[in-house]
Amino acid sequence: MPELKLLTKDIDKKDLHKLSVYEETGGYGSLKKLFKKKPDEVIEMVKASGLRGRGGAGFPAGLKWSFLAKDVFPRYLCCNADESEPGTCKDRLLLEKTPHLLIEGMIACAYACKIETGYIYFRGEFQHASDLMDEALKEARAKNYLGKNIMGSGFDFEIHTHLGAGAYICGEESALLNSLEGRRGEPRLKPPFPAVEGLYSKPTVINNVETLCVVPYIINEGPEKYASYGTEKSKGSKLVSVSGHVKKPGNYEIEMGTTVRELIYELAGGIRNDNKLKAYIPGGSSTPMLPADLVDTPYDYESLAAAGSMLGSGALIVIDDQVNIVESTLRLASFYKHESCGKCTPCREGTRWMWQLLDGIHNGEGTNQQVDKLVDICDNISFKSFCPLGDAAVGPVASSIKYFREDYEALLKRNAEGTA
Amino acid sequence: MSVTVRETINFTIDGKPATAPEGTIILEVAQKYGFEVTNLCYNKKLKPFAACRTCMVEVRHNGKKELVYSCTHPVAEGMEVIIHTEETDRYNSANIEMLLVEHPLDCPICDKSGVCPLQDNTELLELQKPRFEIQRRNEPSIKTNPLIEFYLNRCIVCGLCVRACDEIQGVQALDFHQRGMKASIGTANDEPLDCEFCGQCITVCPTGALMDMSSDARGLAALFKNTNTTCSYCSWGCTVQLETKKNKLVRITADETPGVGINEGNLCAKGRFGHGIVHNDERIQSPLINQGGTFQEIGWDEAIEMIAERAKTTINRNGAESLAGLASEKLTNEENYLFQKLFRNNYGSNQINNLQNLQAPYVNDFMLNCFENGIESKPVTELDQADVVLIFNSDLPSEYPVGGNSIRKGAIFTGTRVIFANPRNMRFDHESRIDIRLIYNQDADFMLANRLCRILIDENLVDTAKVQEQIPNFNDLVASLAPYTADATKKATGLTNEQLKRTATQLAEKADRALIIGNDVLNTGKGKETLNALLNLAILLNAGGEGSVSIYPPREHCNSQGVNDMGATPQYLPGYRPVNDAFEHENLADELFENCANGKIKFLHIAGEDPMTSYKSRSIVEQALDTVPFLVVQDIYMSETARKANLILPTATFAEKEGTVTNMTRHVQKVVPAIPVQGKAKSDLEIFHNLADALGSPFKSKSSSDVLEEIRQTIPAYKDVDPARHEQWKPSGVTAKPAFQICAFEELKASKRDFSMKLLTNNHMFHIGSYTHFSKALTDIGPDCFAEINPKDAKKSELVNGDTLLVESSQANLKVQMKINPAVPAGMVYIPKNWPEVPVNALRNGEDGTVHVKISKSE
Ligand SMILES: Cc1cc2nc3c(=O)[nH]c(=O)nc-3n(C[C@H](O)[C@H](O)[C@H](O)COP(=O)(O)O)c2cc1C
Ligand code: SF4
Ligand code: SF4
Ligand code: SF4
Ligand code: SF4
Ligand code: FES
Repeated sequence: MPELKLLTKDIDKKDLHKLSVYEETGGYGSLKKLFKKKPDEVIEMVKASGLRGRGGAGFPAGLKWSFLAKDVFPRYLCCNADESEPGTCKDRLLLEKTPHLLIEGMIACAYACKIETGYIYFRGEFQHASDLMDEALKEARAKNYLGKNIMGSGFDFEIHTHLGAGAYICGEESALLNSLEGRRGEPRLKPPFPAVEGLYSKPTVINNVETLCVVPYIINEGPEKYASYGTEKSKGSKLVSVSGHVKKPGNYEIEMGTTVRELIYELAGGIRNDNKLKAYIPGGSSTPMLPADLVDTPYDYESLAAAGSMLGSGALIVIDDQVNIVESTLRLASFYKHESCGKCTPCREGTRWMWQLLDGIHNGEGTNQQVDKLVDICDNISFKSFCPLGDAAVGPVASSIKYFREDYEALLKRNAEGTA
Repeated sequence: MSVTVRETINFTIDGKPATAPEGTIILEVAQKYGFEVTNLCYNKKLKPFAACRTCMVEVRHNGKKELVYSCTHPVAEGMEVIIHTEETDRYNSANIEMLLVEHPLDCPICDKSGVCPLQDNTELLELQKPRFEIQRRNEPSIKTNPLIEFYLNRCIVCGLCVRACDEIQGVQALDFHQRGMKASIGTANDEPLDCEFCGQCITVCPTGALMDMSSDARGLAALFKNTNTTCSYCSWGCTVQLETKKNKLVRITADETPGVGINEGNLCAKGRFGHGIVHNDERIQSPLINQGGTFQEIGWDEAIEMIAERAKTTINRNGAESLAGLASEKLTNEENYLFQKLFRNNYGSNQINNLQNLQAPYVNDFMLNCFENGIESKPVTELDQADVVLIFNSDLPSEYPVGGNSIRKGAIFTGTRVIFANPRNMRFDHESRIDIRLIYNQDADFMLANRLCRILIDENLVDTAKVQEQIPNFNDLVASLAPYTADATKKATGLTNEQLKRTATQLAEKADRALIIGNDVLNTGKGKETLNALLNLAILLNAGGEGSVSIYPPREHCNSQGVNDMGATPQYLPGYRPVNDAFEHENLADELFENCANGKIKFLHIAGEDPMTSYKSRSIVEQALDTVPFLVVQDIYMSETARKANLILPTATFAEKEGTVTNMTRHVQKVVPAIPVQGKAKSDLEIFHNLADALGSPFKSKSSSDVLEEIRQTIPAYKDVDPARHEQWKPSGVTAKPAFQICAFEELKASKRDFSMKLLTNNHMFHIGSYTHFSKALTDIGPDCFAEINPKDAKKSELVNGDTLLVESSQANLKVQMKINPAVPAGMVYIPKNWPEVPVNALRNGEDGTVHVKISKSE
């Protein structure tokens, strides 16, 4: 099973981040086509392509654009480059290797949505990517791909970059907007949704880096071409960051519907030391883990959901049979405890309790009641927290207990024997 | 009410039918219908935050069951709401339990104990068996500012304080720090709190995490006695809750329960922390007699007898009209009523006045003209429903802080558009920010107001045909507006016609509009012209537009309105009945101090006022008080005025008194004693009774409520108001006399060459009148007087922050510390009027209007 390289065809080309090289690969070619179309037509194309958000929620991109509050201006476009989900590093690849592709995609989105100002919100650690982007923006401005009256189209658009300060929650779209406005990075109440009241209370489109990078392909090749790949409801290709106990971790662009088995064993070269697969987390740390026997699940939105997990941000974390799952879970729980914004009680307190209990169990202080208490806490957080971070924090814990309670019991037993 | 109409939704709560306007959240309706729903981060005055997650209820709608958070979920047609189910209780409990295991639970020494939502919610869910182990926090208290202690071990991170500071107060002095389990509350940039000290954060806090350090009392607040009364400072008229313990006032708080006051539990620094004036050793301890410059204590009987005797002999020798009284903007209606009665009935003198009427006698006429034009103005409790608010020359956060709170609430919940017009570029932040900001040249108020009228007509923004039909002298108005051209207005105000057109257009839209007029208007030298122009503006909008117009006269102190209602003026008897032939004498009280100074007035009785510091011109008061042969002053503290008296009588503070006061929007509200009259002091009411008794003709109405009854009989507008309900008095028996008030155009006077700067003076944010300086809490946060000037002027005169400024007028000069403030326009010196050691009113040289001064660095 080969990759399907719609976005990453030229990704290894030397100096692709430079405008001249990017142009050699046909870069910015979509703009001529773009400006010949009416903005609404562009939205219709994106709708027809079946492109869904690659940031985690998988919301149809064209539909999101069409929800913008009518006749309210100015409007804003925010590109979500906060990529902080453990396991995920596919946006970084695009940002560092092909920044102009993102700019080209943002221009198309802005044109379609009648937006004149765009922001790219980088995670705090993406200093290098942000510097490259600033350079790329300068080049694009010089060539009038940005600025006033772009390529004589009468359309004005400018992009600004912004570095976050190192909070996972700022990847959540409304927290991102708060952060961009200089407020505390914590999620806002919805409704109103960003499409109605977003940045500075104005209608705002927020899309993931990968989502926006797909748009030039759709303009160039047509939505039908894009939709010809993938499954019935999950169209096109998907960049997947494969990590964990595989021989060749890395980013792979696959056709939607490729199975997890193919991803692990063909593209990523199989499990380290040819160990046995124990579990995998399909869509980044926020998605429930699945046991080895579900390895033939096709990698697309619907199949992974049917299996009890999610495609999420497209980060496949592979766990082999050499680990006790409590250990992996504790690691993730400590991440969420650290990253909870602290706004709502169930997540703020619950992530701490989950970590504390797991840590206890891991350190030989656990009891069976504490595993039950963990289940109880998961239930208290799940769909009761203010934003999906709380639910995400529950994902690994609840699924690890569901599929691998024996790992917990093994530890409890060892503890009991140890103390006896 | 706003002009937008919301549909009514029908649904049920625990099986009982209920209705609410669309968009209303479940929690709000449930509480209104008397259901108890657990909640910790909700406050009706704030935007929903939905963070504590303890308000879950079950709803069934369209055959679907859902668990929702009642503080954010709106009601829907046909919805069934079930407040407690096994599930909701379990989930709500889990969150409260998690909060409790960290909480210090030091309830016996906590300020909120007994009035604590955390306790109440725990009780509501019957949480006795915790699921989680105790994990107490133990961080030290933060006391880096004089008034608010942060004891964050009790904090449950509900964010109410942060949001109150931002949304209600527009200050943003507080924010969350850190995240996750470490999330906590702190000041902006972690610096010592330096804010408006409104204390709203303390009120909304559902725990004792934020404490009022102006009080020594700690613990079991529920055991304190609470007395709701009306604040004695500004004329907004907030209801304050006096907490007393063993007959001692320990703290002032505010009750947020709807209907308790007009202020929804909001207060300002003065109202909340200004209680230091009550138990204070500096109060006048006994009646005092001036014997050759030193004051000796005398007995009450002796003192009263002396006044009565002196009154009689003066009447015999010089006639009754040589006796004059200065009533007070701070005494109750009942006291002012008896005071004027003492003069009119017992002495037979009409020479009674009050400081506001003395300085701006046209304000009462302005109000009456509003009535005659059918502009009655809505209760201020509806201010948060206004569609447009024009804040005209009022630095709201200092002048009527709680008025600002209502307007911010309107901006958030009603979408109120705010138009802010002021010569200083003052802060008035709120959610949607200022819609239009008009920063105009000092004293150009009348130009601005008249130009707005003209634009409404010229641009046909109002239906002029309709106006013409209703208001007979429309053509006179049009003619009188001729000089207010775009150019002339630009020259005088500095504002462009575009700005003004945008303003006029906003005002002209179908809307409920409120015009808040600041007291600074009265000091421009064109107070009357400005008020009339604003009235004309209101008439145009009222007659030629759709919606409503509310407009209130500027009033400064807690009873500036009431003292006039009670007829403590030479022009009007109680209830604004004109003094016609009743007294066929020369009107001396119109120019009270002049007539003391020229010897016509021989006996002056000042009740609770300190004109030496609060009358616009100090020199004339000084002459008057030095000349008048007999001066009685009754007051709480030894004021500069009292020092000049022959006799001083100690009086009670508001906390010791009974009666009513009437706020700037004519809400008649109760003053209720929380503690007995302190020491040898007497209430002003009792003093007036004593005097009437000594004169041999006692007043019929004895108690304060008897007097109120008499007022009700005398003043038709007061007949039906119930002070317990915070009602507005409505004009009654007014004959409609629609007419524009026409004033002749007169150009602004240019500054004199030697004195090229203009002085602006008014109340400081933390001070008003002459009492706040005796409140330690208020002097702690507002200790020093600072003059403020624009950076340009500072540069010109080579002045820097902290320099001492010499301010000179043709009359006098004074020295004051200065700071640079870009909000003050070039050419203006701003000096608050509340520091006795900086007598700003001494600079006035007898002329009306703005005082011209020059500044230099004082060596
Ligand atoms: C806790 C949390 C973290 C998130 N982090 C990211 C992120 O780093 N990058 C991203 O694109 N979307 C992230 N999202 C999803 C965004 O909220 C949002 O759905 C997405 O940016 C929309 O873009 P898309 O429609 O193109 O996917 C996060 C969501 C949550 C709840
Ligand atoms: S679930 Fe609550 S505490 Fe957690 S990140 Fe979201 S808002 Fe913050
Ligand atoms: S006292 Fe008022 S201004 Fe100061 S922090 Fe509290 S709410 Fe904000
Ligand atoms: S200090 Fe009080 S109001 Fe502020 S977050 Fe803590 S508990 Fe809530
Ligand atoms: S706004 Fe006025 S009435 Fe209200 S508390 Fe402050 S001083 Fe008192
Ligand atoms: S009151 Fe509803 S979540 Fe706090």
